[in-house]
Amino acid sequence: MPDLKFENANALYIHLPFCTSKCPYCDFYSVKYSKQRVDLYWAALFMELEELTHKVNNHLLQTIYLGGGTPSLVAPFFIGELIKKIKNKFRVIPAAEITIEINPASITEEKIIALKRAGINRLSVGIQSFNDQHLNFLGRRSSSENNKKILTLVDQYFDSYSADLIFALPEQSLKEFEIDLEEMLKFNPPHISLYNLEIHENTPFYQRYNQGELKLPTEEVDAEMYELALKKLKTAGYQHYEISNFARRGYRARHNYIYWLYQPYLALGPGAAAFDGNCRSQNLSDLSLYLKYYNPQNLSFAEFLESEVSQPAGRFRQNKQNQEIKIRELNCLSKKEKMAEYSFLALRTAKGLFYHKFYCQFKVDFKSLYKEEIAELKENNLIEEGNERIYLTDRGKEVANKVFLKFLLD
Amino acid sequence: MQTDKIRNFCIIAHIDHGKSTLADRMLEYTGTITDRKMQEQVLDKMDLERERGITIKAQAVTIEHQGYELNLIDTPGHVDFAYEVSRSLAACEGALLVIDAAQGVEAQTMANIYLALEHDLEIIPVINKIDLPSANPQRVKEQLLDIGIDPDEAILASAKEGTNIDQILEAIIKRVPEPYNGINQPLKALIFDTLYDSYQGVIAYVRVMEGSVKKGDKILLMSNQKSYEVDEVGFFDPAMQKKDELSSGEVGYIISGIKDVRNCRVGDTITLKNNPTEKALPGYQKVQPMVFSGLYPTDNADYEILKEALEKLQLNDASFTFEPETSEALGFGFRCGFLGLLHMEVIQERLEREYDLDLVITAPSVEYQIIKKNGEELKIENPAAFPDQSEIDKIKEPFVTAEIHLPEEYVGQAMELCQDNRGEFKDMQYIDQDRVTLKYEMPLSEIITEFFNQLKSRTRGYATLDYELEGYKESNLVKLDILLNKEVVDALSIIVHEEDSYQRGNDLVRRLKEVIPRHMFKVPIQASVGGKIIARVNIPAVRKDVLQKCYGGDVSRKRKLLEKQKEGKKRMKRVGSVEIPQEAFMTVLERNENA
Repeated sequence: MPDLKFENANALYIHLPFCTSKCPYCDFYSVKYSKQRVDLYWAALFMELEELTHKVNNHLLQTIYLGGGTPSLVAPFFIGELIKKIKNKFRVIPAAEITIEINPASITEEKIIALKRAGINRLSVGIQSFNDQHLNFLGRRSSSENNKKILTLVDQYFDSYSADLIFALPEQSLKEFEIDLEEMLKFNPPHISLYNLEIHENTPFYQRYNQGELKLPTEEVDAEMYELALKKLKTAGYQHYEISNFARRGYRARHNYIYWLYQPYLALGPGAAAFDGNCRSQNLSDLSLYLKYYNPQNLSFAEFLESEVSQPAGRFRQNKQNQEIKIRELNCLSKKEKMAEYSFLALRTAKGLFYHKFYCQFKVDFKSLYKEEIAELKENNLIEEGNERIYLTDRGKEVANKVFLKFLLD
Repeated sequence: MQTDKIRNFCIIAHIDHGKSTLADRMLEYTGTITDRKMQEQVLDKMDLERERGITIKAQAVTIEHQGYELNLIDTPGHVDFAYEVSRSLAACEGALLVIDAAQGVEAQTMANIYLALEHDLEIIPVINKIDLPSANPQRVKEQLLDIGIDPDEAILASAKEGTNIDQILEAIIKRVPEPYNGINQPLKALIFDTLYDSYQGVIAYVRVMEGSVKKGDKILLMSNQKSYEVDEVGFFDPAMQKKDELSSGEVGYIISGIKDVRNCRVGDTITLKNNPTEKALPGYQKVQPMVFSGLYPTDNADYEILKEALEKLQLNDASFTFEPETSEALGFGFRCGFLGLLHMEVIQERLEREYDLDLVITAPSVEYQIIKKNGEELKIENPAAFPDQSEIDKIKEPFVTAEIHLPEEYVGQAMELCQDNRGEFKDMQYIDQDRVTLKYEMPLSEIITEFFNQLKSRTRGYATLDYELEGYKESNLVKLDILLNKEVVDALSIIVHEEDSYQRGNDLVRRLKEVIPRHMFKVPIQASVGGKIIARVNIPAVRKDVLQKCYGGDVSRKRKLLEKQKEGKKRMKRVGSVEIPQEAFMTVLERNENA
């Protein structure tokens, strides 16, 4: 099977697909959490990690990101073992950013401390709202009270963390959102991610939306909320460094930035996507298939560690009897597709798209390729041209899709 | 075949009552078709027919059973094809009336009974689907009694399970009268459908009423006096099977090198050139298209493909016309004439499906007669081509007599609907104690919009509609223009009654607002009559359009979403600076139910 080949390791994403319940708006892959599943999964994950090391030339890692699902359900012991293993197989730089997503409903002070000890140095906290009604509507098992408690704890133990907030919820008023924002700012978190509720296919919300049960705020209200956030966060000293992300100086999400800079990244776990600069591969979102492939002997994590001692190298190849199993989807991009992706990713960032970087990547002069588009977008006040770069205006950020469309090539 | 061994019949049924399945079962039971060759619903050949559960083209099949030749003629089932249906029925002596044992007698069943009675057909009621748990044959029998059909004559059957198919066949033999034996008279054959084959030319589906015809005969088409030499005659099993001769009472086909379907029209009489019959069969009409609309390729580069496709469709369909037309908004296209809205939809769908064309279709219109102040008379079926209001002296539009059959309880709703659509009450008659026929004189233009659908919904599906062209009458009509971002979009112009113009204008701008996407700038939509703005709404500019999250796994997905958005833009028609989706052009046709 053709596969990705990485010159540099850069960033590693690990998907931990376990949840106690599924939030009705979420379209990330997850299955119901159970200790036993995590146990089997960890053995498989170590196997995939082993396999991954063979695809990478330069093993230097700058960031690790544990996303989900609900990674905070997994016992910190497992997280610690995983980070140890990664450090064993890759050269993780001393200042690496190592993030885990946590859900306030499944975290405690002990766990926060344990995660820190396990090697985590950044938390991404799924706050989403400080309004009990909205939390309930979003299927979150936390309360406003608990969200505040957890944020206080996180702030106490971690220097770097991000808090997520979702807005433009059905029936949400501008005032309610303003209260959410103000609550958030009381904690002055180093990083805030702000998303409007998107209705994704294959989610319960999608069905309800199609049946007319979800009355989303109008485009106007959605825009007013976004504008309000931009204003308030700017006043509070945050840099709006990406369409949905705000950070105090020095606290930008380095892992995510690698995506936006169109750098390669590695991935582990079902549903996770990797990119080597030319092709993208996504592991199929199917835990049982994943276990069958990477842990065919159904080893518990302890058994796996034992077997590792008794027969160290080359095990993966022996185990891979079932060559026919398709475990991932590989998609190699055309140059035009890559140029389009590069453009809209770069334009998501406040710095925007630098012509010379684009040229280095594609040997194409961006400015002459998109001469008319740039002129039109500038005229409509959607982008601004700076020193050999273009970037979105505030209006451009609101209608970014319309801007991105211009850089798609036929 | 001796006429006493021939039975000609059709099956009439409400949609979904199991007509095609019953036909299939009869073919199977008699071994006309073996199981292995059996494809569900043999007679509905087009995908479109199978999907929609409607029959568009008539079909015929000869079934041999117990020494008898049973000719089944499958008829189309929609008011647009009323004429074709009447010709198919004229080729039969009997009809199986299929009624769903669970649904019971429905509106269309009634209409079908009238039709059958009009053609003096022997009706054999078949209560179908008795296998359903909800089947209630007793209730259906009571209903039959109510409408004057002897319930004891009804056969209980399940086409799905093949129950009592033998009884149905037996009833056909016993109860359908044998055809008239006119073997010694000159040839008189009724064309009840035609099919175009690129190798053989036009294949005429015929019922021989008198005389006989064989290969080598010189035939004469009585309506246009054109003559041809017969290459082949035969019958359907349901594939075409050659035969030496078709004679009085038989159903089959004649191939005679006719190249153009327009020379071989449904309802015409075929006779022999050297021994002609005196009188043609009654009932022939040259059907004319009544509804016109513009068909434009979304991508102008597809113009030639569209033209070829239209030519090919016309080979098979003499009632469909087209001629080139240009629109400022839409570019090059064709003004097409149809029998009615269903006919239009069918052609449109076939173009999109069989020829993979993306089309913009303008709102249907009728043909108007315009008398200008300088005395000049024009016939116009495209609103965009209307002369300036100031030059017009009179406008005449086609009127029809609409006949609506419906249960008494819905009379009020139906009358209100007719009145709302400029109908003039003519007559009301009770058919039986609770069924009524309403007669209205109405402009055809009102009927071809949403009238039929609204009638159906207001009468819970019980009403049937039939209409006949009466002639042209003067009306107080005006042209309603639509302006997008201050520019007239010619393809959106419609002709309306002056009194309705404000309401239609308002309604229309509101509907367009729903279907035209927001642009980067505000787009005013205005309706105007004679240069005066009568309605206006604004489409606000896009306020927010951004995909918020975009992380590793999302990138390709986001690109695909953007690509889809771009693809959608491409499918729109750009008029000036405004992008208009295809459905906007059809929006003109819809009416606000509550208005």
